[in-house]
Amino acid sequence: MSTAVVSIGRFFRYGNFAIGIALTGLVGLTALVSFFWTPHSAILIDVAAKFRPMSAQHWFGTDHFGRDVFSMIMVGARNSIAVGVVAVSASVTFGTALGLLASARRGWIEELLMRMSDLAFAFPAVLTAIMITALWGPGAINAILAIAIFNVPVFARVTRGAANAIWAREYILAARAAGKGGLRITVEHVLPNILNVLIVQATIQFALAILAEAGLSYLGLGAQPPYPSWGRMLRDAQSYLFEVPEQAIYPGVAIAIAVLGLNLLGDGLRDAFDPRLVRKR
Amino acid sequence: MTEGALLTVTGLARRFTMPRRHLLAPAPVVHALNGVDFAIPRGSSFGIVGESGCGKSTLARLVMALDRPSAGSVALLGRDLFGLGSGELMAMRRHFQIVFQDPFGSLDPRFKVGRVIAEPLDALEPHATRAERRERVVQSLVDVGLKPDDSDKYPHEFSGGQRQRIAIARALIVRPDLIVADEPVSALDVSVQAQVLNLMLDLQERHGVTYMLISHDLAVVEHVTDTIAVMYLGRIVEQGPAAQVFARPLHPYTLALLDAVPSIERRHRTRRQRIPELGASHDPGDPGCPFRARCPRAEARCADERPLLRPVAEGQLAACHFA
Repeated sequence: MSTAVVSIGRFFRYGNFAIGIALTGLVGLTALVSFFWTPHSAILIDVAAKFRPMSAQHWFGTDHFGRDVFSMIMVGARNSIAVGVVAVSASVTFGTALGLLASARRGWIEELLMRMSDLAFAFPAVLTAIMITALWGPGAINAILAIAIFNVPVFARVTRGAANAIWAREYILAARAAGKGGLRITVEHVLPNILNVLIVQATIQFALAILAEAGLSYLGLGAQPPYPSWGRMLRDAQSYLFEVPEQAIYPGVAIAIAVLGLNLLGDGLRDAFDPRLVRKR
Repeated sequence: MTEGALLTVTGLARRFTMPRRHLLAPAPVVHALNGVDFAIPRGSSFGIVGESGCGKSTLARLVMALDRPSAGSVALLGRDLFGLGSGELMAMRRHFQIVFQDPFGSLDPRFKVGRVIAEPLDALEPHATRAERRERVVQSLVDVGLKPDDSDKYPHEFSGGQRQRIAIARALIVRPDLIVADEPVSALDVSVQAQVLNLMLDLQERHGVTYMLISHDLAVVEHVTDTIAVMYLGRIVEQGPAAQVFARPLHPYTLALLDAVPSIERRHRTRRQRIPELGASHDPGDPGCPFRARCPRAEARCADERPLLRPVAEGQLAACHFA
């Protein structure tokens, strides 16, 4: 292989990772800045100024209520990230705990937990979320809960798979011979050794959570008006798709940037944690 | 068994139930250990040899109470390990530790060496002060010929032989009476094997530790142990003082094992008799000698009557009708 090919391959590998960091950083920074400054109020309605085109005053124009779209995108980023962070943290906590338990105890506990996660997997994620919001009503909190619940089996399963591989290692036997119990081995040996897998999975689930939140908001089951969210902006723009198509593009691109960025970040992290995967590519 | 033995193993058996081949078939059962008895006196070295699959590692795990036997008992310092509660067993663990075969797999890559070595101490003596812990880690490192500041490095910074020294240091830190060494040098370069074995002998001299050494390598066992037991298909077929067994093997399987050691000298090679690779029955219901299918001396009697392990010569036991 020539050096040129190698460096191109390297560019794509680390380039993707860099792009992932940049896009994720952009979304995060936008959300952060929105706490201190937005060009206009994201919720102030001015019907007289509806559907303004792009201008120096309204960078992305205004929507059907005359709200500044750029400000709404900024505040919407906050919403997406908040939902993603809370939902993924909750599901990582519970899913990992269940996966570690299944792996440490094996036997019927493992069977039961894994069959339950099979059951949860049998329903498409968004369907589960719709069911939950249908039961408890729409709203940001319930959207978070719904997304967290369908993510729990994902983490339970990933954790169990990775943890089982660690439990088969000889240093676990050594720890048992040293007199450590199952809980202690799980905390001291198993968890640190599967952390990289969990971080990668959490990044990817974060992207999926943002997508799911947008989907739920699109269906009217996420954050409620007047609080802006990308998914609902998309739905509102849909009604005027032929008159002002660009209104659908802004939230759509925002969602795409966030999801793409996190996916590239996740891929890059996986490569960074496992050099063997890189060589195989 | 022997008076005052440190470790007494009685009638130890372990069966593994394998997954069914299809739904209605009975689950196949593998008899990894078929009733093993031996005793190890304090301060001695007991070697166990046999080909792969003969149950050596199963035996090590049972002696370490990392697995439960199907039958039989393991008594250390006169106490049956499987009759103890989990707390009592924990407390007993300070008396017996293990060194595994693979020095790359038996050390957690995320633990610094100091923490690896202190692991039994942390688990068994949680009340040790920091200074005491530090001091004992250093002592253990020095004992195995490593430097005190190696404790701040990670295992991957060491070679195979050094890593095995780390594993030995970990076993040594609680000053156990018994160290079970399961193929302690077979993953190492030949040039390093002797160093590690000499270290083990040296530690025995200094600390009076008792070894149960498991190996498929006869040279290793001959170098280190006082007494050896030869295992075949989950049973001991010959046992006796190492030098005596090597000089005058009484069981045809031991003879075959010794003959299988490659020799550079041509005249030695021609003398050797070959035994078939495998194909011996492993059916526990079989009444005969398990070795007869491979045995050059097999006769009709061997198919009907299983030879028991019996004293044959001074201190030497063999399970063969013709020994």
